Amino acid sequence: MKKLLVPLVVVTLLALAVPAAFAEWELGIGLTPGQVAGNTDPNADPLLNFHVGYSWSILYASWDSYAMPDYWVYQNTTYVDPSSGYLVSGVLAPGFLNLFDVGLKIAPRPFIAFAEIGTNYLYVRGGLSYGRVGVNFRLGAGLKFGFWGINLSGTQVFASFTDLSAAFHQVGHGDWSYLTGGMVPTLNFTIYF
Amino acid sequence: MKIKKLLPLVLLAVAAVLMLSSCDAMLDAIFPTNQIIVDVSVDALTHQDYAISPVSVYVSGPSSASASKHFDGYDNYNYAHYTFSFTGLKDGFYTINAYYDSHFTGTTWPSSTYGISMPDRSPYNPDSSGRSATVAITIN
Repeated sequence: MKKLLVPLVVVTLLALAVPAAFAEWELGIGLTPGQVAGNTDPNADPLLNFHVGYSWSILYASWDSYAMPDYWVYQNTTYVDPSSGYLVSGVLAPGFLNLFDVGLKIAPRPFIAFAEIGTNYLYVRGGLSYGRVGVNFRLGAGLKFGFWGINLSGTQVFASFTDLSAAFHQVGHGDWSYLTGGMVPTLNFTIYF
Repeated sequence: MKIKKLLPLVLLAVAAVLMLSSCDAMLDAIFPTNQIIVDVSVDALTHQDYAISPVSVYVSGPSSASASKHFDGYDNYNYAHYTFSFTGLKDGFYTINAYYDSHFTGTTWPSSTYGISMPDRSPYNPDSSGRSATVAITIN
C-alpha cells in the first residue's frame, strides 16, 4: 500500500492542477463478440453494453452494463459449496453484468487512452442479484472527434484483488500476459457532453 | 446557460433511471423468447365426455413444458377446444404431443406429433417477428 501512496498523491495533485473545465460526461454503447460469453456459434450475436462515464482532468470513472446471455449467467453463478462439496446450480436467465471502474484517462486530441480498475455486480432477470464476480481491469484507446468518439477497450476480470496484484507483479518482470491475456475486447461508440 | 449545462445531466439521470427501473424489460428485448399457443380440438361426437375429460399437452425441445386442462369452449363443427399457452421458450425446434384422457373409458387418446421451429417465420404466421406461433392439433 505504501508503494502506491506516492503515485496516488502525484496523480491527485496533477489532476487538481488542471482546471475543472476539462470535466465531461459521456454516454455510449459497446459491442463485444458473442463468443466471449461461451457461445461456440461463429455467427453468435455480439453482446451489447451501455456505458456512462465521467472524467475530471485525468481522473476517470465509468459504469458499464453488459447484457449477458442466460448460459453465461448460469456458468458464473454455479459453484461448488466449499462446506459440502456439492455443486450448487446457478440461474439460467440473462442478466446485466455491471462494471464500476475508476482510473485515469488522457485525451491528447484526437486520441484518448484510459486505464481503470474496479468491481462488478451481476443483476439477473427476475430481480436476483449477485455481489462481486471479481475485480475488473480495463485498458482502452481510441479517437475522439469533438462530441463523439470511438474506442477499443479490453476488460479482464480477476477472481480477487490478490490475483490482480499478482498480475501487476508479473508486469513488473516484463510479462504482460497475466494482465492482458484473455481480455474481453469491446468496440465502444461514445457521445461526450 | 444554466439549462444548457443541466441538460446533459438530466439526460444522464433519465437514462440511469430507465436502466434501473426497466432492467427486466430491457433484457427481454435484448434476449427475446418465444411463445407457442396450442389449440387442441377434440371431436365432441366421438368423445362425448369432453366436458369432464382433460387434455394434456407436452412441448419438447430446447425448452420443455407441459400442461393439462379442461375444455374452454365448443365450436359450430362439434369440436371442443382446449387452448394452451407456453411462454419463455428458447429458439429451436419443438415437438408437441397432445393426449385426451377420457373420463368415461379411462382411455388416453394421443394426437399425432407436431413439429415447429421457433422463431416461426413462415409466411402463414401473422406474427412477423416469429416469436409467437399457434399450433392447431386435432384429436378425433
